[in-house]
Amino acid sequence: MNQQVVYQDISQIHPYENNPRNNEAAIEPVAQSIKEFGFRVPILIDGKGTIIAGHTRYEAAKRLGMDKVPCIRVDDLTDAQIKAYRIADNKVAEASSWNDDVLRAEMDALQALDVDLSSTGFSEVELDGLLRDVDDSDFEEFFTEPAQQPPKATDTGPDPESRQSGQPAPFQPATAQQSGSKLIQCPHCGEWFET
Amino acid sequence: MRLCLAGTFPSEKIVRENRPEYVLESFFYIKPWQVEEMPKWKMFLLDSGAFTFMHGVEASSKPVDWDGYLSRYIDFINRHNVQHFFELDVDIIVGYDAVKRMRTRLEAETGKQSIPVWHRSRGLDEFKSLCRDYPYIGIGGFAIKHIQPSEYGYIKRLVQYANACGVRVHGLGYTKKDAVDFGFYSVDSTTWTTQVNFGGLSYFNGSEMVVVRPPKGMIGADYRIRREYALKEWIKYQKYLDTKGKWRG
Repeated sequence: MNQQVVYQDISQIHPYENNPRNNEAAIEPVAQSIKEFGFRVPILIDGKGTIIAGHTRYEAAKRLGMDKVPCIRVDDLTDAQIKAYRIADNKVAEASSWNDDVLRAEMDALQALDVDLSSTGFSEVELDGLLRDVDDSDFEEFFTEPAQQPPKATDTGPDPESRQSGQPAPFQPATAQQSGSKLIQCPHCGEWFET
Repeated sequence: MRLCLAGTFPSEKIVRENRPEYVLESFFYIKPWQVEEMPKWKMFLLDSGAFTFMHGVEASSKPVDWDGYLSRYIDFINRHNVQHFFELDVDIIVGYDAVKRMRTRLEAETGKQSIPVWHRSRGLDEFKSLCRDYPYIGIGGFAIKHIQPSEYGYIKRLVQYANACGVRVHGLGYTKKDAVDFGFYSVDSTTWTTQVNFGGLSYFNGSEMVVVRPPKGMIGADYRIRREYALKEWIKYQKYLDTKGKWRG
């Protein structure tokens, strides 16, 4: 299969009228990516200029005011195959997922190279979570030996009851041992009592 | 998708300081400080708290005064100009006809459409009818297992139907990770605080919440510190989910 990239006038291509993808939210990030890295992945079109794959890139290019876009004209698939491929091209990508450890390492490397990580398409809150090096020791302050009586909590109260059952949410009171006696935490006020 | 944090009413200090994006509270529990904070939240949903109210009345063996409760609910909505409030979906107690009468009164006396809460007992035709008449509806029954996990596929179809009509759907108590894929506009959860009650906490890892339980032989230390930490992390999760799904921002 010999595929040739042609620079097509954007007015000569058009979206497939029954495209089942909701691309609106992806247009701006893709436009930013094209601005940053260039238009690197051609749009697939059929013999009539109808888009097979690349609707978001097409919309992003329009948003950026591009006159021509790289395209590959597909002429070796039947109409039925094209119809199926439109869906498959999007669906099969859903099978893959991120390897967070490797991704974190790559992001760390980019940071070291002084690359703006927002250019990767990840949001600030995603990057914040991803780049945080979480370790068990980070949570040590949140736990204590049972023998130490936890301080009285003043910012506590009953949890809302299960909204529709009308029954209080099941609460298993925290318990602890202290000097041979058993402590139990009140589910309403957070106070610890000896039993 | 909007994740509404529910059950914030006992946590005034940390909620004021950290300011969640979306909040749901029950009318039965809502506190004056939450009313003050309401304008600062991107969206506030008011649940009727009808079941909680009824549970309290039943415990005292007095008759349930639904008219009186509804009057107080209407008064609260009007006094505080609440924009999004659920109907009193007590079908199982008073029957759907009575629920509809209460809905009619609620909407007439507030001058606003409520968020009706569809339960499976109302049937498919009623779901479609609600989609015709309302821009925002709820689906209830997840928390109390009226809708079994094995039936969630049907619910997904319903949500898709509603979305195709341009209707936003709130999944009441639907806290599974696939809520975004379902097409819900919003869901609510008390998990941020219940994990703390059970001695643990949770943090956001960039794509989901990770639960941290006490190491073996340990228990949760200061309740307040864990709760504040959890709240901050859940707010990050709210912001993350806000960028996902059909309904964003």
